[in-house]
Amino acid sequence: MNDRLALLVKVNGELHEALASPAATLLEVLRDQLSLTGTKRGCNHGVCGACTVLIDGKLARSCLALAADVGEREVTTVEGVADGVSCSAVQRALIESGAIQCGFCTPGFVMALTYLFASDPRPNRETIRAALSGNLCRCSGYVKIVEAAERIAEARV
Amino acid sequence: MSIGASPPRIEAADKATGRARYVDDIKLPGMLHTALLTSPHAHARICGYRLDAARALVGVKAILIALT
Repeated sequence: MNDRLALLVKVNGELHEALASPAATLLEVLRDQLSLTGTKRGCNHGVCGACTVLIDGKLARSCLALAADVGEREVTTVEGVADGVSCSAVQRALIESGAIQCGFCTPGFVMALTYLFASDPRPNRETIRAALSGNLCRCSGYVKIVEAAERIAEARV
Repeated sequence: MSIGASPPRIEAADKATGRARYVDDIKLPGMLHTALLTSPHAHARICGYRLDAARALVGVKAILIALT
C-alpha cells in the first residue's frame, strides 16, 4: 500500500491537495497532511467521537471515513465552525458553562452540538442527551456539557 | 474576582476552537516516534533479546532495551 493518491478535499470552504495512501482516513489527512489538528484522534475506532466532523452538513466519524471516499463533499472541522475571530454560540456556551476540562473531547462535542442546533434550534434535555450519546468525555464532564447546550436552547426562546 | 466567582478557564477558548496543542498535535522536523514492546508475562525475568527483526524494519533508528 505504498501507492499514494492525489486527493482534492474541500475543508472549511477551502480546497486542499493531499497525497495520501488509498487506505488513509479523513482524520489522517486532516491531521497529518493539512495540519488541522483540532480534530482529535481518540480511539481511532469510531467509538469516542473525538474525531467528529461534518461531511455535507452531516455528522461523521473522520476516523472511519476513507479520505478517498469523501470526494467533493464539503468537510467542516472544529476550525471551521466559527469565523476564525470570535467563537460560535456553541463554543461560547461550552466555555461559559465550565464544560471544558482537559478539552480533548471538546472539538467532537462542538461538532455534535453544531449539528444538533442546525437541525433543532430548541432541543430539550432528552434530545440533547441523545444528540451527545456518540461522544465520550473521559473527564466525565457531561452535566456541564448538557447545561451548555441547554443554555443555547434557552437563549433562543 | 472574589471567592465564589466562576472564572472561565484561561485555555478554554483554545480548546473549544481546536487551537490548543496537545502532544499528539506537535510535529517537529526529523521527529522520531517510539513504539513500546512490553513483556507478555507479569514479573518475568528477561534472559535475552532477539532484535534482528526489529533492526530489519525500515526506518528503525534505535532500539532501547533494559539491561539483563
